[in-house]
Amino acid sequence: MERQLLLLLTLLALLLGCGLAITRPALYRIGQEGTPRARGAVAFRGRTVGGRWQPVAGQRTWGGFQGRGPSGAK
Amino acid sequence: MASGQEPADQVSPPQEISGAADLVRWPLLTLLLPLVPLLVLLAAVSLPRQRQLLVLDGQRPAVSRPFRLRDGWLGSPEIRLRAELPPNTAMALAVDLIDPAGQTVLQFDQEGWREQGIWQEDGESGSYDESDAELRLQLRPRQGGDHSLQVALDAFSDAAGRPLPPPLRVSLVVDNHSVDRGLLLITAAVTALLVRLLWVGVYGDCRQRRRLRVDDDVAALRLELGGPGLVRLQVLGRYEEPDVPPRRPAPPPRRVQLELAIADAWGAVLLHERLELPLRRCSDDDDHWWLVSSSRYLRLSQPTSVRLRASLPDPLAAGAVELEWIQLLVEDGVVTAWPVAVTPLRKPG
Repeated sequence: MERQLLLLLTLLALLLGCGLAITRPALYRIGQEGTPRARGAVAFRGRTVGGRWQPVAGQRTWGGFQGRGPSGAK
Repeated sequence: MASGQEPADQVSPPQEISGAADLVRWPLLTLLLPLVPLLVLLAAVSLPRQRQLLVLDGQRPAVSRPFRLRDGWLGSPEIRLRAELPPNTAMALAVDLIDPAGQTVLQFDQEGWREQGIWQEDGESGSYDESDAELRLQLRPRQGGDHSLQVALDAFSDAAGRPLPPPLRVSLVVDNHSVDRGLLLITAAVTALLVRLLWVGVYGDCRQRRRLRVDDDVAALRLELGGPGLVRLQVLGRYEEPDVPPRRPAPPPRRVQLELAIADAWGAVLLHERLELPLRRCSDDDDHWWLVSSSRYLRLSQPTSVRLRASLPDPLAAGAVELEWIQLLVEDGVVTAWPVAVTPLRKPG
């Protein structure tokens, strides 16, 4: 009995993990409210409202050189 | 003891191979399951990507060649922008994403820097080259089709903030099959763990398991064993140095002799053999000891009462090494994934 349960659990974990990793249902779709998630030094200049991109007026402040020194070199 | 009068086999008797009745092979297929997420990951990273190089001259925005964003059956689109910055510089980009209808659907600013230098600390030194000039944007298109990026160079300066002359090259990579790599690796690990538990449930589950450890040179057990499956018999012995070492200690031998005997309820000897086994030296921080082990499979087709006896020599090396304990582990009704050598037993009478 526990063998069948373990086999079922294994298959469920496999299908769920692979399915979510491939489809990523929470991923932003263009036209969706808000902005997507991004990796990197990114600032969005607006947001999607009612299916259309709405730019936000205003001057962005330029941070200049942001070097942090040899943090990972040593 | 029945084995006392019987001549012991000096070497291991001829062995037979376990048959289909003792084999359970279907769990072997489950070993493939943890590979599935890794194969998905391999497929996702192996599929071709769209690459192009944008040259920003600082005068007007550069528009990329159209690239296809597609929400397919394997993965989702990922846009990667990486500026090829010279050492000790920084930049700011203004990026617009334009859909197949020519509408701007996303606008963002991206900043980046690169620093190169030499570090010195506690008399040591080395060079470093660090940067943060990459953007990864993961999204789905509203409708699949040719999109493009409009990229403008807002700022480009050195470490002191002095403006630098263009051009700046930016590489654009569009991958329509990006997947959640972390989740795939976690899935592979969790699946491997569950398969391991399944194997323990299949191959570690037996009718009877008995363990006996004695501080003596002989361990003996009488048990009711036999029936479907095999009997697994494991003998483990541990030797240590005595509290008071002898005056003239000899080096420990490389091999020791294990005497193993099995007799039935009437004293008839089913197996009596002497095995020369290697003595393995083990050590911890400031402790060391020696182990000797042997594992055998037996077949008893009918349940029967048997007496198992294992003995090891004590002491060794003229008293320099003493037997600490001897352990007998007996498992009945064992099945295996692949054929194993089975030690045949003599027929009673």
